[in-house]
Amino acid sequence: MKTVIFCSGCHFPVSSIAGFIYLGILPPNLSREAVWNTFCIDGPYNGGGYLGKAPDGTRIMAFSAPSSGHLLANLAGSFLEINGVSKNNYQVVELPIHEGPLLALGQMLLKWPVTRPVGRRLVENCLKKIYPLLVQAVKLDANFQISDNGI
Amino acid sequence: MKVIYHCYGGAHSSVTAANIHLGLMPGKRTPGYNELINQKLFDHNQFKDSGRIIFMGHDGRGNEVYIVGRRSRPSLLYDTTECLSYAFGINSRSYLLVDVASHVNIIMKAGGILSRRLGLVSIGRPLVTWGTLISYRGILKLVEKTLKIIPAGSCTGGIGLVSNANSNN
Repeated sequence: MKTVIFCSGCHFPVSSIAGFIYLGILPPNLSREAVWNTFCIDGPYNGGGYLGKAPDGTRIMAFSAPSSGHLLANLAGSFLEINGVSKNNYQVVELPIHEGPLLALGQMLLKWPVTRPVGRRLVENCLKKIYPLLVQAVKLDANFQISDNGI
Repeated sequence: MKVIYHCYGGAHSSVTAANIHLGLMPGKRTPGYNELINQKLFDHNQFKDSGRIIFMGHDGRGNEVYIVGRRSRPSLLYDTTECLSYAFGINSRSYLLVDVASHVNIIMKAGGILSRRLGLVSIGRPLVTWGTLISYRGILKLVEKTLKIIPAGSCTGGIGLVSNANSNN
């Protein structure tokens, strides 16, 4: 049973978005409501870890932390390696999205009720640019390069 | 058991702790400057190596000793290893995370940044070596404490007794 581990270095958990796209929980076309309900309805979502099992049996995990995508990818890969987990059983995918300040700002603004609408607007606008690239990434089975085109 | 020493960059304090653990650095006295600077993998890890768990050796008691740099986010290390252990069925008692960053002084920080981050090795390396000499006793005590804990089997992955999750180094 293979496990795909998505890692990203963004404030917003884009690795979890990629994971949920893989699982079919988020649709291939950006649905702002779906993203909002999955990630933001109870405040900004920073979680990760095990997300679930895809229909093909692949297990999906995701980790995100600001400016730490490479660290997370290294950590996940080497930790499994020293514990004798075969590389055939997992794939670590680092999402090389260069996060701009607007997404981080939007994520921060989601924390307070007064600023939530502005934060939501910012996050949605930024995700609009990233989302198709994440979909493409998942389709390509994680061998890809992502650019957020100056977000 | 796997003993994983971790600090900010995985280049100085954790390396020194691992080498003390392995008996490659003195356990009774403070080493000399040259002895310290020439130890295995000291001031070696690059910034891009952050998060990579590196094998240092076997300690002769059946334990494997590793180092890792996790920048200023020890919680990332604890959370990720815990989560992966759960998902892959790895026994969380088979490894111990030891935070050495609490023994990193300001001189080590300055030297480490100059040497590893800015590439100014000629200035940074002597500075970080000097800082490590100052902190050596503290690191030594931490390793002694770790060695006492291991046979007792009282450690768990993530929040071992010698871990310091609140460290910001």
